Amino acid sequence: MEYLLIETRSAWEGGDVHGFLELAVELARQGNRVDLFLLQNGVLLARKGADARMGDLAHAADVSLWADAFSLEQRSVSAPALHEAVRVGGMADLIRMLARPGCKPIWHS
Amino acid sequence: METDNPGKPSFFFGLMGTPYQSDLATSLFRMVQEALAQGHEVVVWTCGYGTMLTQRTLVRPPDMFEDGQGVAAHPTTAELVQSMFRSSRGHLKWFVCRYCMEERGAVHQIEEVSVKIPFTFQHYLNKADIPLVLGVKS
Repeated sequence: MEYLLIETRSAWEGGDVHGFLELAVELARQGNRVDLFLLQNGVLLARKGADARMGDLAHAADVSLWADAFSLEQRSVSAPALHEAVRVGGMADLIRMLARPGCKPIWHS
Repeated sequence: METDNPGKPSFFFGLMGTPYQSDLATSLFRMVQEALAQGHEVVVWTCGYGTMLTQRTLVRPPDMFEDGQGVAAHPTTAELVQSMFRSSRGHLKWFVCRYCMEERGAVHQIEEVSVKIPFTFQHYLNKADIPLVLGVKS
């Protein structure tokens, strides 16, 4: 299965953000393809050392990590501050991922 | 969904969350614009306070950061939606939940949107190839 997980909140906005990352880790562990797209305050998770689960995901097979460029810019988070595994993308990338056949999107807010 | 873009899946965006509590409305507008730009059919359904985005009675408060006399220099959300309709070549539909709209007194809607009874939500959700519900109703 292919999952597209979209996180819009930072870890400070509730414990369920950790739960959402755990879901991503578990889906990857079970052999699914997982794309995690960080949007809005969610991009704060893309910073180096922000959350250990991001490191777990970075080393998992068939996982891609994305952060929205517009959300990063709004929060003054620059590229050097990001985890090495995070790709910076935009809405064009998100819509293309959503439109992929068989993709199961989950929006978390 | 009927489409004149064979092969392009259609989108359904359900806006449930309060739009101004976070960047939710911004993300919705950005996704709708990009999906239309990529040639997809798009249906937006607004519930809760999301129904207030398309009121024709919206007034933009003066922008004190602009040069001049604090004149509102940016469009309202309703004007943004209207501009998306103009550039959508008929590929955009925007539905407003009647119950949520009336509950909030947001009854003066722009003419581009359609007011729908709540029970049709699932109909449009099921018709779309890619349904995505944003936020929790509040």
